[in-house]
Amino acid sequence: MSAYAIFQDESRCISCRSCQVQCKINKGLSVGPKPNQIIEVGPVDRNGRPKANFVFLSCFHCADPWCVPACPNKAIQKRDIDGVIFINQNRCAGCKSCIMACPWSAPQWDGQKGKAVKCDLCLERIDAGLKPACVTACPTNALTFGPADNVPETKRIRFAREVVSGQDMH
Amino acid sequence: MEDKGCKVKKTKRHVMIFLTGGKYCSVCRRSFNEICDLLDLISEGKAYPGTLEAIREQAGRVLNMCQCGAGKEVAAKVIDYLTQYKKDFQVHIDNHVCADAECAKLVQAPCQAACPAGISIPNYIALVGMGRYTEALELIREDVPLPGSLGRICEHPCEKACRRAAVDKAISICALKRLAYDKCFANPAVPAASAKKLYSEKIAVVGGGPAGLAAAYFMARRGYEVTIFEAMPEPGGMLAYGIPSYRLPRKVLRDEIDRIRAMGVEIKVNTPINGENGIRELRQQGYASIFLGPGAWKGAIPLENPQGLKGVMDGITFLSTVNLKLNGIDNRVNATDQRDCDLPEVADLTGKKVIVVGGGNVAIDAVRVALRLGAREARIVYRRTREEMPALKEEIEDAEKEQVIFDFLTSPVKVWGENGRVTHLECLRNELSEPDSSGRRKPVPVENSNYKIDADLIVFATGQQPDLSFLAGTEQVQTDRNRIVVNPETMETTMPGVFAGGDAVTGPASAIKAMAAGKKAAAAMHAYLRGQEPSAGINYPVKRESIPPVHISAAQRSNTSQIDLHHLYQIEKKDTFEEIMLAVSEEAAQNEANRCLRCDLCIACGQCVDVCREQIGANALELGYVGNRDTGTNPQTDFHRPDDKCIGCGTCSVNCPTGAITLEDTGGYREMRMCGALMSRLPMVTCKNCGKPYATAKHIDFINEQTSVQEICPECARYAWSQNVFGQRIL
Repeated sequence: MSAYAIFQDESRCISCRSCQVQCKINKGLSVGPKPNQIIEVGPVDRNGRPKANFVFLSCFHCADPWCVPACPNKAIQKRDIDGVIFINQNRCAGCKSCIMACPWSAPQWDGQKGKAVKCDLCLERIDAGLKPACVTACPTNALTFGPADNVPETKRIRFAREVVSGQDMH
Repeated sequence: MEDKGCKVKKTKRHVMIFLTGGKYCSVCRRSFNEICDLLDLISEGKAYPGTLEAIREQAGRVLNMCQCGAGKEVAAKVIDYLTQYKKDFQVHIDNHVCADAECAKLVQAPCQAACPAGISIPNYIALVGMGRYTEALELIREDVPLPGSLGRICEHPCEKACRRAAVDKAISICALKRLAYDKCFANPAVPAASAKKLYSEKIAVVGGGPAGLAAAYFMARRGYEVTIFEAMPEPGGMLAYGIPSYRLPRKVLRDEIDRIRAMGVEIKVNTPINGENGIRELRQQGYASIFLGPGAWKGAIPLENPQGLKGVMDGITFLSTVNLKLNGIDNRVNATDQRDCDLPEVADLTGKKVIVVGGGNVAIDAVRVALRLGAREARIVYRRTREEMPALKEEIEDAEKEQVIFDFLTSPVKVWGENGRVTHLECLRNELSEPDSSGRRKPVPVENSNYKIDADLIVFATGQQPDLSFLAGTEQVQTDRNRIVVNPETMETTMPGVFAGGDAVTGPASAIKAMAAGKKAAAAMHAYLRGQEPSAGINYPVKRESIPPVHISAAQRSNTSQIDLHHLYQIEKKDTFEEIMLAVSEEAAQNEANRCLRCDLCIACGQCVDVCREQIGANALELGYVGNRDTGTNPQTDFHRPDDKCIGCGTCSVNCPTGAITLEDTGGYREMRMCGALMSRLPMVTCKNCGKPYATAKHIDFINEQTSVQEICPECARYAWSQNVFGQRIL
């Protein structure tokens, strides 16, 4: 795990995909690669009403990643300070080995540049003290970014909201 | 030093440095990003004529509206570059050629770069290989008017530049061009079409040789009304009167010239332009622009002939006389023409001894013609050795086959004769000197080595000069040392609106060079008549869109040539004036086309080799077939190695800047091809989830050496995860 995490409050997500768009703008990507993605699951029956789940999925920044050893050119690395896994675009040759190795297809193929891209939690932005692009773009504040230890706190806040409103958000 | 390298790339670097600096306002960001995109279009050859204006407009926006102040300087620099390097930008946009070979997609193939007329050689070779002869011919006619004639007599500088020569033998480009014409000539699939008339101006072309025909052809294609004024009874210039018909059959030349006529070009034969008012009169007759292509028709006889002995003539007089006689045109304009002398004797040389002095193609033509006219003995006297002969090697070999005697290292000194006729030629022996500073070995006469060779006819094929007497009354057209002076950029003479090209400008050269001059002059004429500046692009070939290569096996690519000129030479025709060379067979032509390395696609930049070796570590590729001939080692043709080492990851195709390497998944196999030739064919693994093949087994094994790989394709991976987590059908 990396020291940071992006946590998605599914009850707030409206599947507007602003996070996807902002991510691509920030990375200057064309059509095709989606370093983060909203996956729609459902709809399922919730208390007699249909309910769709919108799952935000980017990279888990695994503690023991498979993509990093798969790269023959050491373009994809894990940072020592916070465990963020990123692709050095100058080293990437475009062999797609990382894409094959990742069980969640976090590295995505950018056909225009002929390189792999993946979520790196917007390294330059977090190093400059900003939030990742997707988090800033979320209009409903469904995404929160912070140290991974804060995630339980975020979950508690949501549970409290559920109690107050009397709704089962899930 | 400032001006080295590609100017488009240079401009882009300048803008990129500013953009990566990251201190700019929104106007600068938008405009400079737009400028970068436009510059990319130019370097990829996708630009449209207005691209430069669009860049100027964007730079102008920055100058007017920039709020940060930092961008103004860069924008001014961009505009400055556009003005300063206008020519380079023009060549990129108009010709899709990067003269500095920095824009990968715009690098010319060596053969096309070597061709004076810049024919799109790799493309027409590919078309001939596919059997699409009509299209191939159309493509060649984009750049030259007489493909059938060139396919027979061209000196093919393209074959000297061919990279395949480093492997085994250059592609027989010229033979393939001839085949394309012959196939269409047998059944004219495309009738000669008349060109649309778009402009009212009339063009006069003086001289109907290769240069004049090319100028007329390209002006007619542009939509002008063209009239050719030809002094001789038949158009074609040296192709008709210099080149014998066993090399270039008259019906081929006449057919091609008829095609030009069919376009609407009027050819007035027996109409020399001369005297005081030649060019001025043409002007008065309403010709808006004039092209001069008079050629080089004056032979030179280097030795004195004080007694006026008969039987001494220059090469071009000899050849043109014979051609006139043989081709049944005997309505010459001028009865006192010099060509009259010796005509009866020249037409029949039975039992005579003929000496031809010289070592060029004219000499070889003359000596082979003499044999065909029945000469008992035909010999070539040349002052250097066989290696230094400027004539085409094939021609020299053919002459040897026909029992021409060669006297090398021999210089003529004096013509001897009695009763007004030549009897023999006195010669000197030479020996080659030590190489001088330029590395050339000059022939030095050996003292007292004089000897005599019997001869009834001596032909001096030792150089030709343009006959520029027709310009006597027109001082505005400057001449210098018996050449018409032109502006090399535009082929315009010192008289506005009068252009010139061909042998009269360059001195005796080749047909293809003359056609190239005519083509260039036509482009400049068009610009002159439309009141524009001629584009810098007229000095460069046009790189056309590459024909997708045929899929062939590596073995087919590495085949040796099946075209052997010795097999095409018909010894039984050596005494006739019928065409002596056969066309190549379709099968051999296809084999030849498969041998072509397609240098219009693969520019041998080596990026694929780099990534495969340095970055992936598979080390499957090696550009072994672009060898160095100087080292004398036979370069390894490395077509079989990819098969063992290639893991089918496709990195080479991703990094290929021109798209020469392709990756294709068909029928459960992944095929990697280099310019159509199969490099490797590897079995693929299918996704457990959706059943689609997604990677090669070798690639998966390669990754598994380091880590373990899932068994589903990347597309399915995320969805599979959410299915595991939520247990849901996925939208």
